[in-house]
Order: sequence, then C-alpha cells, then structure tokens
Amino acid sequence: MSVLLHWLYRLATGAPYLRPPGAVPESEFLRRCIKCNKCIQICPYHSIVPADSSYGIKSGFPVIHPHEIPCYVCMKCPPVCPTGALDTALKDKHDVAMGLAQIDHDLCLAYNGVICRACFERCPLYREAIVLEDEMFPVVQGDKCIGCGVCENVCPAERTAIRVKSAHTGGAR
Amino acid sequence: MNVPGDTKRTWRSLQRWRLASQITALAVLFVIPLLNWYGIHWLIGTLYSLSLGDLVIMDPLMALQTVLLNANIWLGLIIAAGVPALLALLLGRVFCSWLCPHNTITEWFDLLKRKLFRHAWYLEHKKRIAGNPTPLRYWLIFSGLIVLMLLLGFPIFGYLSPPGIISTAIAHAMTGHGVPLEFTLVLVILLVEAVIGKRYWCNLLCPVGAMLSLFRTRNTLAVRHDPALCDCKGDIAPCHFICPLNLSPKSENLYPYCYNCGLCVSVCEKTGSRSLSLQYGASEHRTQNAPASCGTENCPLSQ
Repeated sequence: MSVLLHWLYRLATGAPYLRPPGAVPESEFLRRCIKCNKCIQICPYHSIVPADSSYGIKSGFPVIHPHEIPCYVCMKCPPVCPTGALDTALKDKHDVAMGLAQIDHDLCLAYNGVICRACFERCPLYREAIVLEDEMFPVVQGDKCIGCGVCENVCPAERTAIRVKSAHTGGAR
Repeated sequence: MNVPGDTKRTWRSLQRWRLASQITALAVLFVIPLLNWYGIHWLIGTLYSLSLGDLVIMDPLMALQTVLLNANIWLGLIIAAGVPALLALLLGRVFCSWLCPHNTITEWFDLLKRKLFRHAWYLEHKKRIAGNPTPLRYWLIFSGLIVLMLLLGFPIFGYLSPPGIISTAIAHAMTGHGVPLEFTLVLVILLVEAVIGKRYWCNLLCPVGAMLSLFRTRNTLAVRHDPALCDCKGDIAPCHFICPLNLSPKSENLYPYCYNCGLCVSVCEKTGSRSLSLQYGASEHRTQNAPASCGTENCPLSQ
C-alpha cells in the first residue's frame, strides 16, 4: 500500500513550493490538511493557492509560489486551520519556518558591481533576516530567515539571484 | 412534530422548503469565494469545514480522518464536528437531502431525465425490487474505507466526499485555479448513475453520509408508517416509486439508508392515505415486514 502511495507521490512533477506559514512537517501536513480552502480564502494577498494538477495526488493542497506572489507574513492563515495542519497557535512572524533564502553570488547584482538593495529593503524582517555587509553585499542570516519569498519575488536580476529553499520539499527552488 | 393520529397536519410545504434550502446551500457555495475575493472574511471555507465568524463547523468524517491518522484529538475539533453531528442526531441525515450539492445536482439530473425520457424513466422506476438492503452492507463498506485509509496513511476521504469536492471545485473555479482532479469522481458518479438509473453512491458508498448515519438514536426524526391508514392502489407503492434512493419506506431496514427528504411522506399525503409521516421517537405503529405493494384487496394490514 505504501509503495503505491510512494509511486503516486512520485507522479507529482510540479515545481517545488512553499507551504503556508506555520505548516507542520510535510508528511504530517498531508495527513492533517483536509483541503478546506480556508487559508487560501483568508489570504489577503492571494499568495496561497491550491496546488494545480501537475502535483498529481498532492494537488489541491495549499502552496505558495513566491516567484508569483510571495507570503507577506500577515499571519492570518494559521488561526483558521481547523485540523492543525498549520500551527494555530503561531502568532509571531519571527517563528515562521517556511524555508531559507539562498543568494547565488554569480547572479546577484550587488556582488557584480551594481548597487542593488531590493531584497534587503523589502525583507519583512528588515535588517534581521538579510543584512548588508559593508553597506553593499546582502547576506542571509540562516537563523533568522523565515523563507517567505519576498526577496525572491523582488529580485531584479535577469535570472533570479535569491531563491528560497523550501522547508517542505527540500531542494532549491 | 406530528403526534400519531393527528391527520390534520400536512406535509405539502415540506418539499418547497427543501428546494429552497437546496438552492440556498448551492448559492452560498458561489457566494463564499466572491465574498472572500472582495476581502470579506466572516464566512470562509468549503463543505469540508466552514467558519462562520468564530463558529467553526467541520464535516465529522474529516474530523474522524484527522483523529485516526494523527492519533490526536482536541476539544475544538470535537465542537466543530459536533454541530453537524447534533443536526444529524435531531433530524437524521438531512445534510444529504437538504444541503448536499451532490444530491441536489443528482436530483435535478433525475428530474431532467424524467422530462426528456419520460417513458424510460418510468420503466426504470417501476423495476424497483421490494425491500431495503441490509444495514450490514452499508457499515461494511464504510469500515472498509476506514481500514483502507489507515493502511495507506493518507487522507483518502478528501477524494471521496462529493459535497466537499463540489464546493472546492466551485471555489477554485471562481478564483481562477481550475477544477480539482477529484471532481472527476463526481462526473463519473453522475454518468454511471445516469446510465444505470440507480443511486448507488448516496445509497451505499458515500462515506460522508455513512458517518452522519452513525449519529442516530431511537428518538431521531424518522419516517414512520401507520399500516392502518395505508390503502393506496397500484402495482408499486407510490412512496417506493418516488424515493430518490430506491428505498421502500414501508419495509424494515429503512435506516441507516433513508436521508429524511420527506418525498415519500409528501406523496403519501397526495394519495390521501397519510400513512407515512416524519416523527420523533419510536412509533408503536411501525410494522415489521410490511409488503412493499399494498393494494386495497391484498393488503393484510388495511382491514
């Protein structure tokens, strides 16, 4: 039975995604989420969307594609989850753990002689998750970054230089 | 409600109320995504779980699934699932007959068939076999699904709940996310049942209805049959003919299958005999093994 389930999971070919803030670890999330749509509906930015059919058996579960609309950590979704797939007690955005942003120094404008502070300026945890080294080079603070994906969304580089590694799917996005 | 012997009470308006309730329930499913899209959030969710202000309502089947899969239970979950459970304890499985969008669509589909293929529809309904299936069959299928869910460790009921699937499909389609994969199930059920003409899903297979059927006591609202008043003619009893679930309201084992839509009660009143009624509590008039067809000459109970 579990082999069958594993095979069905393997069919999910969609791109890596983020889960909404407060999401419990992936295997437990899939057991708890009943796809009731509430987190999707309450999200004021329409960041949370149902996974499309390319995710196979995982379709319909709520995901965030930060490249399209990132999570602005308004923290409205965790309390509405009826089954505890999102940690309903989560109030503080500093406690969110959706993923970790990673900067590709080859692509980042700031590391290539162009003055750019887009990710630094727009980070919801301003001067905490991303700090500027020598007033110039953005550096992600691994212990502070919550993986909301705002930086990835605003990065102006031709090929996005800062990407969030999802805490739920693993693998760089 | 009705006291035995009170024949003045009529059921005429019951079906009108039921239709109003079904249309309202369906309309609400379209209104919710619209409200949400414009930033109004006091009513959110789908038929898996709804939030009305601070009141959280949850499909008891989904609550059971969460409890069993995660070995974890908490008060909020019990209260949320308690609302539909209480409704079922009082009025029976009225969620299915008065609110469920799948049942509404299937009923309207059947009505369309009746208008378009009147003769075929009539023959199909005439072929009905007397009596009801044994409850054992119902519970075996339901417990089988629960065992399957535990073996897989995966929330399969999210793929087997037509009311939830339809409400999700409406919400997703209206917000531009397409229709979920599970919606195929609803289409397959509709197509198969349109061809074979029997409501196997609502009747035997639906886990949502089976879960609600668990909440039933001797005092829950139920269809009661008074054989002393039963005197309609015809080769098939009108109450059996009209039943959307192919049940025989005069035979035993009506529950857990019956969802208290009241169509048999309405049609019984129309024939003038008024032997069927919806009542709370066990009735002394309830018969065992009443014949499904009850003409005036051959009916042993109408003398």
